[in-house]
This record gives sequence, C-alpha cells and structure tokens, in this order.
Amino acid sequence: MLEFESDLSTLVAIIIPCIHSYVSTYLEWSCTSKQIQMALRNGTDRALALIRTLPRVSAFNLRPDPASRADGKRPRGQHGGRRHGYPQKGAKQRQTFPRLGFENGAVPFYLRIPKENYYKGHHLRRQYPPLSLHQLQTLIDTQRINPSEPIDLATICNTKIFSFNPGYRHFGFHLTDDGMDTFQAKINIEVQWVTEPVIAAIEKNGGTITTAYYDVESLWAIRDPEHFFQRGIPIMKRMLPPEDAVEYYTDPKFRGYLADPEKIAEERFTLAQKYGYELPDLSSDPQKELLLRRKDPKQVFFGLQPGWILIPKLPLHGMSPKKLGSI
Amino acid sequence: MFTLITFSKFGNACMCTSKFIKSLSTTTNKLSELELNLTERNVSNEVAVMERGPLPIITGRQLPFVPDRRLVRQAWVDNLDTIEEKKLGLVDLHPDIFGAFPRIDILHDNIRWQKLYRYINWKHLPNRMERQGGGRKPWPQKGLGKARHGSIRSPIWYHGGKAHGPRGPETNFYMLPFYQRVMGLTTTLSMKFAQDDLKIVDTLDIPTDDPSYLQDLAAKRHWGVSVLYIDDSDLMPKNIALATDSVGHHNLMPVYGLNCHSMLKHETLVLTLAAVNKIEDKLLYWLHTNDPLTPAKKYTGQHTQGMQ
Amino acid sequence: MNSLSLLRSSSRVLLGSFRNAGAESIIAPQVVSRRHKGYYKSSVEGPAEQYTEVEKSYVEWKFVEKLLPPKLVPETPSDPGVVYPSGWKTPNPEEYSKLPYYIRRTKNGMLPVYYRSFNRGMFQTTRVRYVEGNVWILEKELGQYLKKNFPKQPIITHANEVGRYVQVRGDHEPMIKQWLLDKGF
Repeated sequence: MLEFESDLSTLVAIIIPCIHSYVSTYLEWSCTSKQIQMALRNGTDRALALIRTLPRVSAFNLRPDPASRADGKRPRGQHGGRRHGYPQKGAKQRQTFPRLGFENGAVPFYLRIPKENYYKGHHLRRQYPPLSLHQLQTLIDTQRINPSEPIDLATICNTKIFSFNPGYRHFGFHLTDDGMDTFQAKINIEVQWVTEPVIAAIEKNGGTITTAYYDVESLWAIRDPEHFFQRGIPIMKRMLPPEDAVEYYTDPKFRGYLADPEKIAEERFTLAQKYGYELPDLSSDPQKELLLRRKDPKQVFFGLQPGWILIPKLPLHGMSPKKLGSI
Repeated sequence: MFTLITFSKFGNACMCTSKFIKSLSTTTNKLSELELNLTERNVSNEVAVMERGPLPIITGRQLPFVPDRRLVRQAWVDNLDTIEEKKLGLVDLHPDIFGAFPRIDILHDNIRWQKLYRYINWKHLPNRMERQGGGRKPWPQKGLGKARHGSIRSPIWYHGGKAHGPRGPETNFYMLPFYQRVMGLTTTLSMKFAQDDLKIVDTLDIPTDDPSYLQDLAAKRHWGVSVLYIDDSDLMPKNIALATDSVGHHNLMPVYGLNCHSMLKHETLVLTLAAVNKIEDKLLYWLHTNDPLTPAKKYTGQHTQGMQ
Repeated sequence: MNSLSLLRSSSRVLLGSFRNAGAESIIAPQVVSRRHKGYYKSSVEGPAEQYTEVEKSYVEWKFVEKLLPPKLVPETPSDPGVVYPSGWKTPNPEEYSKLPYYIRRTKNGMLPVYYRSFNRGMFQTTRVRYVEGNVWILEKELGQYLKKNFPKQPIITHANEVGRYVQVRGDHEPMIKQWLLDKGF
C-alpha cells in the first residue's frame, strides 16, 4: 500500500495563475493555536487555506474535474478505422442472431420444463412493499417516529424515507419479521399486511397492531397528507375491502380491523401461549388510551372525519377560482 | 396555513370562492403595506444622518447544525456610510456555508450550466427540400453524355441544399441536479470568503447618490474593481440604487437572485447582515430538509412518475 | 344554493327530457355531454336543497398538525456513545477526538459508508465519504484492518483528498461500518 502525496496540488493545476494583486484584510480566527492546528490539518480547512494563497477564482480560470471526461482516442494504427472487430459478412455483421434460448432446433429449455406461473395476474394483484421491524426500530431510535402516537401510513410516509406508490398497485406496507429479536418498542401500529411472528414481537412488548385496508383514493391521500390538504377537496370515505381481501381483514388472527374485538383478545392470549411469553395487561396499562386508539373503518386520518374540508388561507399556486368552484 | 372547515356534505362551492376572494384581498392589503414601507424608507434615506445603536452592533450568532471539528468562521461587519472603514462588530458564519470544501469542479459545472441553459443555437442551413425549386429533372437521364442528375438542389450542386447542416434553432437547456446547485453556492461563498472577497456590512444605506462615492469607497478599502451588493429584499435604499444605476461594474441584487455566475463575475461580494441570515437559513434548510427529493425531482419529469 | 349547483340540477333535467323525447322529435341537444372521468369529476349526488349548513371548527386543528411532516430532519439523540436497540449508536467525541481524521455523520444520523456495484456487478466498491482530516492515514488503517480479516483476499484501497473519500474494492460495508462505530464515529 503506497502512501501518496497530497492530491491538493491538483487544485493548483486547475486554476490558471493570473496576475492580480490585492491586499488582505482577512480576519484572524479568534481561537486557540491548537484549534487552528487541528483545523488546518483537516481536509476542508487546508483546502481553503490553499485557495487563500491562489489568485482570485473567477469564471475564466475554472476547469472541470480532469477525470470527469475520458480522452476520446481516434481510431488509428493497424486496424484503426475498420470494422471494430465486426466481420464483413455473416450473422455478426448483420446482427441476425438466433432468438434468446434457441437450441439449434431442439426443444428449448424454457419450453421443455412445465410452467409454474408464480406471477400470473401480477398486474392485478395487490402489492405490499416491505418494512422490517429493524427499520421500524431504527426510525424510532433516531426519533423519526414518535412511539407515543399511533403509527399509521401517514406517520411512516412522513419520514420521507419509506414510501409506496398506489400507481404501482402498492396498497400499503407489509411489516416483516427482520429484526424481531431486537425489537423493543411499545407501539400502536396499523399496517396492511403482517405475519404471525411479527404480531407476537409487537404484543410481547405490550404494543398493539391492526391490519387495515385502504382503497386507492385514500392511499393517495394518506401517502402525502400535506399535498392532499392543499388540494382543498373534502376528505373522502375509506371504502371497505374487496371480496378477496375480506377474509384477511376480518380475521382476528391477523388483527384485522373488521374483526370482532373480543375474538382478537382471545387470539392475543392464544398467541402468547403459543410463543411462550406473558401477555402484558392492557387494561391496567398507563398508555391504555394510546394503545387502544383505532380509526373508524371508514375514516382515513386520525381525528378527521369524511366530508370535512380544509380550506387553505392563502391562494395556492396554480389553483384558479374556476378550479376551486368545480369542487 | 389552513383553516379547518367542516362540511356535512359535499358540494358547497360558495364557501371556497368567498374564502379565496378574502385571501386575495388580504394579499393586496399586504402589498399596499409594503408600498407604504417603501415610501417611508425612501423618505428616511434622504436624510443623510445615520443613526446606529451602540458599538459593537453584533458579536456573535447562534448557529444551528454546526458540525464537530469544524471552526465557526468569523468576519468583521463594516459600514458603508463613510469612505473610511469602520468596524461595527463581529459576525459568526456557518462553516457549512462559508467554510465548505471548495469543489472547483462543481463550480465549473454550475457556470457551464448557467451559460448553456439560456443559449439557443440559431444556426440553420436549408436542406434540399427547403431550397426553392429543384423539382424538375434538369436533363434526361440518358443520351446527352452528361452526368445523371435528378434535382438542381441536390447537395452536390452549387447552390444546392446542405446535407447534414445545422438544424437550428436548437436549445441547450438542461437542469443541473439540485444539490449540485446548492453546492455551487456554498463553494462560491466559501471561496469568496477565503480569498477576502466577501465583505459584510450592516445596511446598504449610503449618504449620497453620487456614483463616485462607491468607487472611492471601493478603492480606499482595496476592494476589487467590480462589486456586487446583496440585500435580503429587492426594495433597495434609494441612494445606492441611484449611485449604482449608471455604473456598470457596481451592481445590486436581492438574495433570491444569488447565483454562481454573478458572484464570480464580480470581484468583490458585499452582503448585508440580513442577507447573510437569509442565505444561511435557505441553504441550511436545503442541507437539512426532511424531504430532500422533492426539489431534486423538479424539472426532471420524475415527480409525476407512477401517478395515475 | 349557488349558481353552480343550479346549473347542475338544470342540466340533469334537460338530459332527462332529451332521453324521453323519442326518435322522431330529436331537437339539437342543448346539453353539453358530460363525461364522468373519475371520482372527483363525477356529479354531486342529490339536489342541492338536501345539503346541510356548513360548520367552522378549529378544535380539530391539532389532528391536522400531527399529519404534517416536519420541515427539517428531526434531531437525533445527543448522548455520546449510547447503543440503541436497533444497533444504531450515537457518536462519541471522547473516543475519536485523538484520531487524525474525522468522519461526519449524515443529516440522518447514519455513517456515510456506501456500497456500489457497477458494470453488471463486475466491480464492487465500498466508499467512506465526508472524511475530514488525513485521508491517507484512514486509508492505511482501514486497509490494514481489512487485510487482517481477509488475509487471502487482495485489499485494494484508494484515497481521494479532493473528493474527501476513501474507497475499498469489494463489498465491505457492514465490516467498515462496525469498525467506524468501534472507533466512536
């Protein structure tokens, strides 16, 4: 491993010296000599100190990064200016290659093997982008998510780190079990898809979880609430799940939002027995109000009812009175 | 930001429109207030006496997001109301804005972008279809002993069309990535500061509207030939507006017009204290914003991706 | 009742009469044909007389505020050297202050170590960015550390002082991150 000389000399190279004299009225930094030494040792301060000794940077002595553009070499020499390795005739010259997977007339592999169509109808299926318990715990640790408030799609999307796109048929988040052994937060969370061990990991810490369905219009709204409020249109009703999703969202095993609360309480106890942990008592919990807070099945945002409208005080950019009138 | 209005049912557009009109009237009220302020300011400028609080007017500032192991920059606050320099105070400058790494390559990209995005190549040469005539075969194909030709506007003819000429007007517009633009500004400010070409003043109030006053001041203080004065708003004091009006190399600019090209074109950059505050606020906002990708996607067509 | 809903109801009546008119008495339709493109473009249900009064409320404003995202990145905890359940650790100035280099956390509180694979996965690099101080010493120490862990593997390092980064060939992201965390960054 070689230790190179400072690359900062390249900075000198890219500023063409120009004759100019100026008098320094630069202020000495009011700090201790030790601090200055430390700062000058640093890359940025050292570079600025170097710039200080150089002629004034102007629009006429700038150069791009020398490595940003490759030198275009003109084709010269024995085969230069010829066909660049491509022959004069044949398939290679005419690019008439056999189709992908073609096996010289034999039945190709992709037709020989029976088809297992895992992705049949993928453009119609609902998709749930993953969000792992480890990622959720990191968001809570770095204070991106406040665990003393109920967590829903708006909370996760407002971190601007995780998002989903209803245009790609994303219907919310799938909370995955990665990092469930280290998950320690006590939260009230609402996601769209979940598996059994994740429910156990959350309920073990005294938290609660719900799976809830959002239709496409509500998803667009809750994905970016600020943008939705700026549109100045009434808050919509959340639609009930389609036929093939009813079973999941009424199932107390998956803590569906349409399931019977008593059956959910039973399932909480059963799951604790199965995974071998003591179920924390919700009724005596000081955070009981938070943990049991739920949305109405037709409600999109916490605390805001369908039919309400938020009128922006200032006229928004691009919104004409005519457009407002057509609401 | 918003007023919450609860509707029992949809369909009442009356409320929306009346609200809209009301908000419009409030903005016009604000505009008239601004105009009032403007006139007051002009009147006060005609009086040459400058009143200032006890010195020093500033000795430090609370800076957010200061990184570890970086020195907070410091600069004198000067005056503009006398030709001789008076030190009015000392101001702290953020190391991420006025002490950023001098990325000259990024600065070059910024300057190149600013030159190119407004450049239109008007060069145009007509091809054989755009030249007049040439539809008739000049002479028969055979029997004359002459070369065969189909059109007198063929590219091989004298006064023929151009085969692969410039097809202007062509735009060179493109958008430099947002955070390269931010880095261009921090780089330029840092380099101007490191090279003693950045001066900070309290206000842009000067006692006279004589153009020679600013030139004498610049010469006395060993500033560069060309000076760019930057204030936080575009309502400049009357005297400096008149003094710089006839001089090409002394220019005024509000903070919202700050750009790499203008800063490099002028040798010395003069910022007011209010402008320093505003520049730092804006640049620090973009360096620490919660939603960094929204401006980055602007003008690139990505912001509508996946929308229905 | 506003003019807009009046327009809507009248157009509805006209549309009905047009349909009932029969084939022989077709007059030129006075109605502009409406296309219900989607949810927001569709017509309002029921006559306007059925609508109730509008009520203004400011009590629920707190729920709106909770739904608005923060403008700036929330500040990360500042206690030095604390390890959180997710494994995320706060920087500890006591540990790194004696080192001749410093690696600044990103605004999200994460270590700026980035893995990149390019040319269809043919080349893999791991880059430590935002290095303040002596990049050469960092490059040397990082190379020695990786060589100790992967003695049979060629460790190719590269330092760029102007770009303020140190780069290693290969996928070493978790290992370099742990190494930097142990150093207190």
